Amino acid sequence: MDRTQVVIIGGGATGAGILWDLSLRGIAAVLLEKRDLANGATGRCHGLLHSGARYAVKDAEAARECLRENRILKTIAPHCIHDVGGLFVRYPQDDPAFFTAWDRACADIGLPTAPLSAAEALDLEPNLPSGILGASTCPDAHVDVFQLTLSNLQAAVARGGRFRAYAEVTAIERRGGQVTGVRFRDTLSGDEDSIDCEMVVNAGGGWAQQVAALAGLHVPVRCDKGSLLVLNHNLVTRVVNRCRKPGDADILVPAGPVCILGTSSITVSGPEGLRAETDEIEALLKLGTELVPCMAESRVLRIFSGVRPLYVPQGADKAGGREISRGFALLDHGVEDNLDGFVSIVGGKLTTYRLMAEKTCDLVASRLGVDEPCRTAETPLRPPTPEAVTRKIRHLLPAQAASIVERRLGPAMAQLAERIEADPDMAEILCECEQVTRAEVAMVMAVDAKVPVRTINDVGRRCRLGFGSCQGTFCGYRAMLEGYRQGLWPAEAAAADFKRYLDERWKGQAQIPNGKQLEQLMLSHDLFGPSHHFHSDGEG
Amino acid sequence: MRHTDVTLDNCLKCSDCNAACPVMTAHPRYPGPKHLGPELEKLRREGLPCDSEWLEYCLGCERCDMACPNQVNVAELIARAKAAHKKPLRRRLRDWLLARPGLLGQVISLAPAVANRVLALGVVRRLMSLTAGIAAERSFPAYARVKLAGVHGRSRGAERVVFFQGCSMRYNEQALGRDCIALLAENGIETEMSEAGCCGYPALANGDPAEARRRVRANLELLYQAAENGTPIVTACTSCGQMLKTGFTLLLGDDPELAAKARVVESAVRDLGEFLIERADQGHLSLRFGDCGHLGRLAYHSPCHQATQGLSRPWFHLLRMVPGIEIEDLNAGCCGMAGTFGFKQEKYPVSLSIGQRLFQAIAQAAPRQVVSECPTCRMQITHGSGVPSVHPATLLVMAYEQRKVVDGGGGGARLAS
Ligand SMILES: Cc1cc2nc3c(=O)[nH]c(=O)nc-3n(C[C@H](O)[C@H](O)[C@H](O)COP(=O)(O)OP(=O)(O)OC[C@H]3O[C@@H](n4cnc5c(N)ncnc54)[C@H](O)[C@@H]3O)c2cc1C
Repeated sequence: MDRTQVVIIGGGATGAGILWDLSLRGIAAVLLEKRDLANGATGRCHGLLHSGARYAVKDAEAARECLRENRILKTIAPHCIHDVGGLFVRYPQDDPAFFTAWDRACADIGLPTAPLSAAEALDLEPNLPSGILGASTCPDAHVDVFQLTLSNLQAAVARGGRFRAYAEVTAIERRGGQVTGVRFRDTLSGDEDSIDCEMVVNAGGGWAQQVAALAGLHVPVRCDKGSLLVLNHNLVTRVVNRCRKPGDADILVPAGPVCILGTSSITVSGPEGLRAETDEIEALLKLGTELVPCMAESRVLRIFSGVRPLYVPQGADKAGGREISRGFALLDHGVEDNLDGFVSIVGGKLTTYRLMAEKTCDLVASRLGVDEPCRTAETPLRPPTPEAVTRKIRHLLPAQAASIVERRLGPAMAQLAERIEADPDMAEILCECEQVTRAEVAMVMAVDAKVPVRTINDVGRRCRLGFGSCQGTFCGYRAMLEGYRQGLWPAEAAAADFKRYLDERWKGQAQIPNGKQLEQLMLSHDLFGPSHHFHSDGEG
Repeated sequence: MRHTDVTLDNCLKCSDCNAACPVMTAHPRYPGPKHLGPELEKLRREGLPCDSEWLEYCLGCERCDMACPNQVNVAELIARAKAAHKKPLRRRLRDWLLARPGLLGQVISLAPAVANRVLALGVVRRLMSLTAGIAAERSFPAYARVKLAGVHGRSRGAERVVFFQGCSMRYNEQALGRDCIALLAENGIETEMSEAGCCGYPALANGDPAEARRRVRANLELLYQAAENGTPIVTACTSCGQMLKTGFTLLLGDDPELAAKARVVESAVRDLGEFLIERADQGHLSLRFGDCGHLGRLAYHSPCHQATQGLSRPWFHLLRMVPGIEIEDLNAGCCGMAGTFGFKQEKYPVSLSIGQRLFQAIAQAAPRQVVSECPTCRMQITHGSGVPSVHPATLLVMAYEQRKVVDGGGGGARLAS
């Protein structure tokens, strides 16, 4: 039996942000996540660090919130953000009245924008259609969601916070009107365990309703599915927004080597078993081609879907998904449902995860009688990297690999350098698309890693291995072997996990309508299909 | 990514290009064409610093392009990256010179006798290796003062070809030029020696696309009229051939007017072997060969740029038509010379190590001569295996002469060297 002050349920950005915030305030906390970090909407979102411009016309309050958080995150977590900037592009087929409304709304909020002529915009983004009328800049950016979640967890763990993956909360224990702890099950091994605590925070995102039900409470959450298309190249170098009333497929986000088109909006019954429908994909691609015409012949890497958790209090209008404010709700179930020590944080956006964590932790701290203010807005998530360490890595690795790993590891590059100096073979690149070295994979797999891994997929969420165009065809196998070498898993388990890994990758690509990725998929089938005994059933 | 180059999307990371790369086998740390081409290009477009010293080690053999099952322009991507690669000053100066074999030839052929003697001196070669980074182990080809020009083998009603000599023939191998003229004359074809200068390939290979563009721009004007009139443009050098068939579009294709001209010229270009075998296929090749059994065992090495032109060893098949010739196709990959690559001091060991497979095959075949159409392949073969090498055109001319010897009953056989 374990003890702590606060148990947080849900390892998305919100839960990770709460763990960090509580740890900074000196409150002991354990975060339980039923799969791995960013398993929910966090790992399946667009990765747009909103500037607020998208919401300016409709919801000035939400826009102001985004703008504030956008500025804060760029200062506390620059290593998680590609500060590429954004464009709101005026297409001839869209309503000109919206253009003026947008200009006015941004000015009212104090959102810095600058108008560009069509020629100027085309000069910056030559893949935009030549018929555009013009564009405006805005401070949108891309945020690496895995890196952001991981950084929050690592910072928290360094301060005594605890994160446990593959721990699904199965019951919330109560004595009378007071929460006393949770029971959870290890979803890989099936082992059961429990933790006693004074407070439980429900940061279950799209699962918030199910999590609350574990305490016998009802939290009304509507699941709004959105699907996204990952394209093999960054067809644009800035975030491209279509300047019109928010709709489907009107945002293209450059995300490092790829770019992501989204999204759709369809109400679904729950957060599990999501799948993009064929006509949904076709509609997205068709609209995407309006945004950037060369998308028609570009390679689609992957399609994925997530759910936006929309908080729908009783009596709210039941219109389409986008009609509900994107704001969030903090529910103190002590006040609302006479269950002391239980708090739910629902709704919101990735961009506002820190603010959601701040509000949640203010409430938790006051209930625990801790008088520590929130400091996440001014505390960098990661200490600066000593110049000598950067220089050493630049000497040890090729330029592009050094530059990528600088962002990802920062000061932890010191350990990377140690490993490579001890064994030069550690500089070998295991994942070619993302330029991940064997040394980094070994670090991720180390038993003393702050956020340990248990599967090949977990490795990807720590260092992007397998995220590129080959979708793990070559590096997945290498990672399996490296894990075996490190003693992370025995041979049997390694092969089984690799099979699961492949299955998931194959599933993710099978829906893609465009020939080029199917060739990649077939290559993977050829390499690892039935003839190699890695996969003997299903579509292989 | 501009919409014009979505072919980068085609890369499946399958590594077929790596498997075909001669440098990969010779140099364990060489990252290979997959990395240096499509992979780095993708990362470059992400805005990452992607310069790599290894770019310099690409031979430009274009075997990666041939190997790619998915039409990725691997070699072109590497060539572009190579052009942007930053080199130290000393190497920049040397490569500037190596990019301009025509200039070198023009200067030296002002006083070839002196230059040849000076270049052969051990001290001079050591000095060049120290100051200019030219491998001291290499010997320079001899330069000649006279140049082949004008129309040769005139006869009434004869077909005509425009002959593109290339720097090696123009400055060092006039004898081969005369053999080519004789070969064509034997088939009733007159040869107009083109004034066109360097094909531009050495400039491209040395990361100097501006110079390459100047060369192809000048050559386009010199060759266009003949091509437009339907006159074949023939060359006996496979690297010139590869460049003449693709380089105009590659370097001038952005300009629609030049691109149209480029297509006309490129489609008129033929490798001499290709030209002759086409005639053989049509029954238009003179088969009046004498018996060449006296040549002894021969071995054929096919240059990389022969294969990249999509040719299937026309010279090998032509030589096999000659009675008495005993010739084996070595089929042992790249020789490692790659034009000017093997001259560079820091690349010399890699160059030789790439050639090992070929040298071993030669040792096994134990030929009296190795036959190959590429002048720098021949340099490397003789340097690496000690066996003399010869252009196939020279042997074919000998076969015709042999018949005349037999017919005329006089003179003796000549061993080409
Ligand atoms: C398609 C799409 C695009 C989006 N794009 C953007 C965007 O560009 N910018 C932006 O700011 N926002 C965007 N959002 C919104 C954003 O993704 C979410 O608001 C945010 O990620 C929610 O994070 P979270 O941590 O609250 O929830 P989640 O990330 O969903 O985390 C909840 C976690 O709880 C875990 N869990 C559930 N039940 C249990 C249990 N019983 N025990 C233990 N763990 C449990 C789940 O596994 C999950 O990991 C997008 C959303 C979608 C769906």
